[in-house]
Amino acid sequence: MRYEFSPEQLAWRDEVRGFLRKTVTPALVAEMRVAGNEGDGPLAGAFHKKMFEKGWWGIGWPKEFGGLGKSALEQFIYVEEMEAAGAPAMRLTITSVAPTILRAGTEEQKAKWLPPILRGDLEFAVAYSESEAGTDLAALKTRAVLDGDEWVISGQKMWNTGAHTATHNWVAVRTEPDAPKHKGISMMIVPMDRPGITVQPLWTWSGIRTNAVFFDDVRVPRDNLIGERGMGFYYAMMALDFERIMIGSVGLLRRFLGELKTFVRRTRRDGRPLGAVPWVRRALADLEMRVEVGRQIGLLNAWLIDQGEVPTKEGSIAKVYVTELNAHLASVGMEILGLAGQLAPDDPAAPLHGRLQWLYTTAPMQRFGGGTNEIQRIIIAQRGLGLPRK
Amino acid sequence: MDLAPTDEQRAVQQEARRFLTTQITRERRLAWDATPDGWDADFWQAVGALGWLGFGLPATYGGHGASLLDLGLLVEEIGRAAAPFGIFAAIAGGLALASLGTPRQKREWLPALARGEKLLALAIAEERATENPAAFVTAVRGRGGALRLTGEKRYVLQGVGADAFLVAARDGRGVSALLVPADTPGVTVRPSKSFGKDRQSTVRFRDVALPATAVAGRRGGAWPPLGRLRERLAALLCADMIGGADAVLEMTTRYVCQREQFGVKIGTFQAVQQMVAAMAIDLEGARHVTRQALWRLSEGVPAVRELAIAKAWTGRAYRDITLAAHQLHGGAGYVVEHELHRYSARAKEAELRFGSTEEWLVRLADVLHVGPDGA
Repeated sequence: MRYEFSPEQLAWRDEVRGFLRKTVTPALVAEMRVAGNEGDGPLAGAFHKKMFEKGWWGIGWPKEFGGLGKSALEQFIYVEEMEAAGAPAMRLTITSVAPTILRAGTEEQKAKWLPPILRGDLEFAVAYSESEAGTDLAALKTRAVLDGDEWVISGQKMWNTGAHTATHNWVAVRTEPDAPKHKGISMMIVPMDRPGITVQPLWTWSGIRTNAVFFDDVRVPRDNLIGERGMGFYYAMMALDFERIMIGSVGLLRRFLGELKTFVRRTRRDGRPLGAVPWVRRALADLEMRVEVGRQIGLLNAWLIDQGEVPTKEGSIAKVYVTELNAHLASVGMEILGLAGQLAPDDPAAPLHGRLQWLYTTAPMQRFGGGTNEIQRIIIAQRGLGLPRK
Repeated sequence: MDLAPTDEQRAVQQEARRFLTTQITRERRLAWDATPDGWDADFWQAVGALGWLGFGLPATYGGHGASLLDLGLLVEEIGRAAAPFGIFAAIAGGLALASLGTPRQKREWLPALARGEKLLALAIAEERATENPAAFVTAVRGRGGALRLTGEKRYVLQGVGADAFLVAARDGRGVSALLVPADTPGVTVRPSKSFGKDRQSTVRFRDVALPATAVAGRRGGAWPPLGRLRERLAALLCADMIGGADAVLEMTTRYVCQREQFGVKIGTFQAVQQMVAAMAIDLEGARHVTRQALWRLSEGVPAVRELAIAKAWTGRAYRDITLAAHQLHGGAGYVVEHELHRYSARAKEAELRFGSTEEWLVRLADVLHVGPDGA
């Protein structure tokens, strides 16, 4: 047993940290605060380009596809450092789409799609949900019908974040209408420049733009169906596996907590240092504890993946724990900031540049997105602990 | 990073689990409830023969020289079985003398403690003091060869059967630790009743005459070592808690998979599944912050922050897990014939012992240095 990184892992951490110190400039951080969706601005674009050039967007991919073949723990370290530095987040193309192509795609599909993804030439949005198919994803109705050598897609997708800037869409469609609902879905790559696609913005409470996207007899080549017909639901579930390493990271929370501590050290309120107020000290200690617990859960998750296990229970535990903690830390943190805590990020007087308020408004999405926390707890109970389904 | 126990560590755990499962039957437990020690002689001899009591003691004094982490993994099994808490008390007494005692005291006592032939009880807490040595009322006076000890210690584990006490006493401006045989004139032991049914006593020292050789360690210099001992015991107690919490989650899972109402297993209800999942989440965090603290203490690297997190989180988690288990077991887990209450009471006691959740959060806040002048 060893609760510490190995010298090699520490060296990797230092390498990532050193690179980010040079690359994540104050200007980039400032741009990300004002850009509607994090990472949509030109400086973030340049950052992404640099990461592609370094091969660092594919650190977990096999070397034969241009990746670095890093272990899950090394990926955990990397994500933690990225978050701690305030770098633009990895995009779904990298965390969700590419790994699924890698696992499920044919050799031709891998050769066609993976190299341009790793060069940063392609940018995917992910289209799973529909108005009537959210948590019950397998109920989705958008369909694709084969017409000669082309699939013809019609239907409507919701929460298709990034569809207005992406080059491609990763769409779950029903291709087998007569099969049971879980077995009739396939994954389709749809270039966004095809005729028949309409993108409508949906603005959310957090300020993040997402979209409703309409497909009106959109045609794509037959081979844009990735992997096997009817396996799409399982591919979508598998894609969530890859996101677990990221979900389990508390790098962002460690950064916010650190900034919160600095704020407390520098602030006087009602005639005394904030750091001398008992409830503030107690609240900070409680957050410190909760963040460390989350870090251990994330580490366990990554470590299990490196042992060749599929940590279904632990992945769900990490998802629930960390997303609940996001909401909690944002709320308690704003309470410590006091009335200044409710100032919006674009108010110059907002402490921590309004980041805690940003976290407060994005946290609900993390709790219900990516499989609601209630569903995750059911997964923990049923698949992790063997409670009966019926 | 390596989160798996070694083969050797696993073997110790498996052997312990096997031993405790076969030894601790329901009938035997009920019989133990009526004994002053909380066990019978056969059981105690068997525990001694297994080497558990000397597991963490130096090999030169008949121990096994195991690290605190190794010892913690063994203690996890003691907690899992809710085995008599006196085992923990005996281990604690040995560790205390090993870290504070003079070579002569160690030669005289440790081999017998390791074999379970003698029992040393720690006597630190008082009615009005647990962790602030300046607040101790118990005091030692005198110079050279004639010392006098007066005071009262509370919550002394296994006080009734103890052969000696290691007593923390104010000594001038400092604190001394004194090794006091239980049969020394002026020592009286009165059993208390705890809701966890472990064996505690109030031990009174009335002008007890002691030789200079009774002092363990340097005169007046016992507090920093006793404080460090308390930290190690807090970490070990966390190990007891995660073992117990694991057992409670397991018995609860088993119960909701069997119990039927409205014609279905109650484990199919979403409300039940949400609760069981919450128990698992609390436990998973507790397991690794606890083992991390034990590992850091074993390695001799700074561990106050991690220990504070372990004790604060694990104390709360174990308590909450047992209370959720009561809710899910309903009446079936409420009767004394069911083992659950043994865990529930032990959890609440453990939360209070060696610093409560709130006390450790205060300590954690101190190491964050957010106050004026770095406080």
